[in-house]
Amino acid sequence: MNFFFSFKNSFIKSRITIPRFNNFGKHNKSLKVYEAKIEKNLWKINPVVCSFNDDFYFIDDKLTNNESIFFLAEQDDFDLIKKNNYTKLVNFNNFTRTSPVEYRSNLKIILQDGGFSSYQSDYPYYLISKKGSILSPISNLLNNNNDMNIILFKNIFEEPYHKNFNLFFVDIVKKIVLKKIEIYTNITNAINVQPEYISSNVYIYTDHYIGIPIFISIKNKHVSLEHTHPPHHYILSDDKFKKISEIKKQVYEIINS
Amino acid sequence: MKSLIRNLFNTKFGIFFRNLFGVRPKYFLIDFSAKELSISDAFFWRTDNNFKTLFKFTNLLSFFYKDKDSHVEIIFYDKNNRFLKKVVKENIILSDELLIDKFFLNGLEDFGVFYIFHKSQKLHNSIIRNSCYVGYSKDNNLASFVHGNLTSASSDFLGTAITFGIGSRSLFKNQKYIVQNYFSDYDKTELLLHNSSNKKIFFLINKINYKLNTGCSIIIDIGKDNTAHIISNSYLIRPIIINYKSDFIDVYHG
Repeated sequence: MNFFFSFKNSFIKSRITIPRFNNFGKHNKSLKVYEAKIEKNLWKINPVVCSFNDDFYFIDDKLTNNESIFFLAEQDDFDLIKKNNYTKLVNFNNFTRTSPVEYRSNLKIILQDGGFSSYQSDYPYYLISKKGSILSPISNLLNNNNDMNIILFKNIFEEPYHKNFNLFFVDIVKKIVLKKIEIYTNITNAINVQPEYISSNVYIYTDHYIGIPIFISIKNKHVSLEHTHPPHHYILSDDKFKKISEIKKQVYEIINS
Repeated sequence: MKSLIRNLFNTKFGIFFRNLFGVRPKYFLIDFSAKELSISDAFFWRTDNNFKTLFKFTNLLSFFYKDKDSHVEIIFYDKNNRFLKKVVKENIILSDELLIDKFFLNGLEDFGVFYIFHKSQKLHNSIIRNSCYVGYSKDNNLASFVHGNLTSASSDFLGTAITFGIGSRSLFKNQKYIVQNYFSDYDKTELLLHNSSNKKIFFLINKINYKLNTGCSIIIDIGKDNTAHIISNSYLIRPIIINYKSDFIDVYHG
């Protein structure tokens, strides 16, 4: 299954459009939208009251924030999470687990008095139990001539806690850490990026937890939103995990030197 | 017996029939036993209607394999799959970018696709796929970025020949693909489509018939339609979508 998420700050709001069908046209109208958020170190699940039509649920900016996650389910799907006393997210159902094209919502951000941008987004269930690190370039989606550059780092972890971990800006050529920022699990973390960090040498790297790096560029009231792929997306041969492990080890050594 | 059937199933002949009749189709015709192979998405470029296209890419052989002598070749085709030009970029340690405007294309104001292939004289025993980032700027405004999303062609690290037709197709026009977004907020929506298979494809978009020769591209204006329903004989006809509202655009993949 897939989870969906959103973002909000003082000048950007977001909306999520969740389809009630998969890419191949199969509908399941018995599924409703639910929200999961953390309260007193437990997952609190609530039905979402939002507008909808035969094909979509529309989660507007009054319902979106940096902590809630959204998913499709029906009442019978909550037995598993009840059994674990709401201490761990579960695979509620498999309707949103599709291949080769993933089941996605549209996450759209809207700039105050400005433009909009979106991408077809999802956070797959199989990622929520994983710990590890993420390595991503930043200059491919940001530009030091922009008015503002923001990185969103979205983590969803199965346990209902906001645990801190670190995001590093690393110059992988000079082998130095430029900046270390504390971020949290189960949050859409937002990081303003200083223009001097936007260079092809500079990558972001997280320790302990994985997530999706998403990049926002803003210039003259226009905005662009897009995510980067994890490194293993680019190698199709059997050596992919060996190569990526080597590169991550090199970056790990930089941040620990 | 089971292993014999499985082996037959995975032969070139077997895959051809699986795809033709839709029996556990193989969506991408990639030989994963190959080595030294650079696979490229088909990336749309457009210079029509005051668009510029900005391609931002990583030298994957340099980044992953520390091959500092590697280079990339970026090859441009028009919407009718006619070769336009080839750009060779050398000495890229990590990442670089290329602006594609009408001046870059000798005054051409149109659209088509380009591919990027990584080249090296060294052996790495690998297959890499470039699906980097393309930004679309209209009227000189900030580019709206989208990553590559359509695996389409391959070329050996060492050679110059290109193999097209990675996308597979069915005998029947029965493959449904519905974009999982609703366009009611917008002045209009365009779908950018490319035929990555090695035969002509036939498709319906919101009940209107189209056909597209191999390697060719099309931009379809669906106006104020709220949804995009595609029925085709292609297994993966995934459009790039452009939503327009007032002076703003939003570009993303389906």
